[in-house]
Amino acid sequence: MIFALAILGSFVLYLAIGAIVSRTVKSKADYFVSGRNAPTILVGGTLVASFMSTVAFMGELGMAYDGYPAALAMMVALNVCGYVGGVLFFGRYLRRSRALTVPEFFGKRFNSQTLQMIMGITVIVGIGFYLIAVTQGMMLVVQQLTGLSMGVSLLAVWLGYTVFTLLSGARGVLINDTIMFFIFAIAAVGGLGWVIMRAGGPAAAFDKMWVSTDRPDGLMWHGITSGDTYMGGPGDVLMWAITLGIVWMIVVAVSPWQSSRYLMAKNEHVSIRSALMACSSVLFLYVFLTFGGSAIALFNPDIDPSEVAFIWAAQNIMPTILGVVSVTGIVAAGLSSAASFLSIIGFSVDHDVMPWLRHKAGLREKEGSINLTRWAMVGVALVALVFTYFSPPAVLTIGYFAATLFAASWGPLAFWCIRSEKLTARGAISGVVTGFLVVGILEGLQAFSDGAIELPLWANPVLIGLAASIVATLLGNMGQTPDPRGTEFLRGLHHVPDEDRKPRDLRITRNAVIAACSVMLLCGALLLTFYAAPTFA
Amino acid sequence: MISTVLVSVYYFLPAFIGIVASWLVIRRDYRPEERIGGKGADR
Repeated sequence: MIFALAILGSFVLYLAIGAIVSRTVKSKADYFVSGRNAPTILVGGTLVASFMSTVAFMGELGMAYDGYPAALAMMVALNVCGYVGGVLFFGRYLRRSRALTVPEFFGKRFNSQTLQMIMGITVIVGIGFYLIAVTQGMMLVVQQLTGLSMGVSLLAVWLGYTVFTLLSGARGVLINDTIMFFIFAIAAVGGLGWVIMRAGGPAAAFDKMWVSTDRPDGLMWHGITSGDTYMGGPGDVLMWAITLGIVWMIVVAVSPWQSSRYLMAKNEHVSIRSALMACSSVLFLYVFLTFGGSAIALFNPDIDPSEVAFIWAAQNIMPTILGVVSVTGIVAAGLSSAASFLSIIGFSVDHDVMPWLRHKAGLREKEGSINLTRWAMVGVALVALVFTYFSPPAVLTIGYFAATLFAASWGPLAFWCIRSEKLTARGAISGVVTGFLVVGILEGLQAFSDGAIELPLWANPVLIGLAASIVATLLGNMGQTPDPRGTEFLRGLHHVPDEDRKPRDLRITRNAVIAACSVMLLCGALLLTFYAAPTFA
Repeated sequence: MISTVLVSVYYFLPAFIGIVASWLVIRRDYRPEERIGGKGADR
């Protein structure tokens, strides 16, 4: 009962914030990019909050619980590098463009409204899948804790994030995301830290996990070696950790739900510091999500489905107050991501796709109002509701599917278009569409065929998609001349704004670099002390 | 086991190297503009 009340309370809190923030939203710039004046704590908070969702706290934690914590850690090690590379090689240029959406940036870069529309459609479809995965996760949490039916749980969750996003737009998402970031950080560190302490402290917990008969070799880099070894042999696990690590690295670097956060930053130093904050926070939190998640199996090795392992721990291992915070944290992680996704999809419908359709239909360009964007969001939200209701629950599968779509279709173009003046709109369109379709078809066949279609290791859909996207870009580019306005726009992007060359800003950024490096070393020291050292005793 | 040391080091090293390398780029790109004539030109 107390868990149900906590969830209800958190919903009310988030909606109240949405209502308050909505009074400060006056223009499209406020609604889309929060007036471009957000400080590091808000941009960093929203970067992590829109990245970590129920996919992390349910899907991935469930994977660690099943006996693959080290594989997950190896994946995350590459994944977080995307923040640093992303902001330096894409994010800061995106911010300089002063676009309202990421597809608009690509449209300006190639002076092509068609490209902007196509990027907008990939946003709607790709993030739409991710929104379904996150909504499913939250629905499971609410269902598990309140005993409500699936339909009612889904409706409650859906109403929560839809009303909130409609009211407050990017500004509300930014503020709420940061609050939620702190709540789920407490949930991860406090809640899973408690699980480890209850297992006898870090040293004893790792000792027990090493000799666990339920999860033999569960702490090894390749995961469990008997039982439900659904990830395959050591080669499969390693391949998974590297390819998915690269996929997520690209996703955090260029995906619209991550890179668009830089559009809200007050200046470029804020963008860079936010990326450093996100990189170190995610790495630190996953120390707990991986090995803390695995430690839950010491108390109950038979939680089914494993996606609800954290919720079970909150209800059965943690003291009530910490359990309540933890469960609220999972809901917060889901809600913050869902609100980000819905807002980004809504912005794309209104700003990237509709203008192209109006132009093609010969209708007059409309000066977009916030209310029009809100109606677009209502439409998108309703479609997401219907799809979520009829899709079988597969939080991790759908979430990872969406990530691979963006990695292959957006990844090559995003970095390439910043460096090369030779790229043309036709090349860009060929690359994006090919990457999206190849990964969509191959990954979709593999992921949703219930094991009927199993591609060999060398035919990894993401690697094929990435290669296909690059080849298609080159082929599409042949015989084309770059648009001079696109080239001029690109040259403008390479000029560092004078206001970002202040010595004080550089000093603060240097301190942020030192702080991030310190967190990295702390993570390494924690693993070496508690995970590696005991194996030499 | 050596594999556990490798996993531990692998966990933080790529990001650590990335951040250190990024500092070199940041320092180069955001260095404050020097006054015309360089250091000490107004003596």
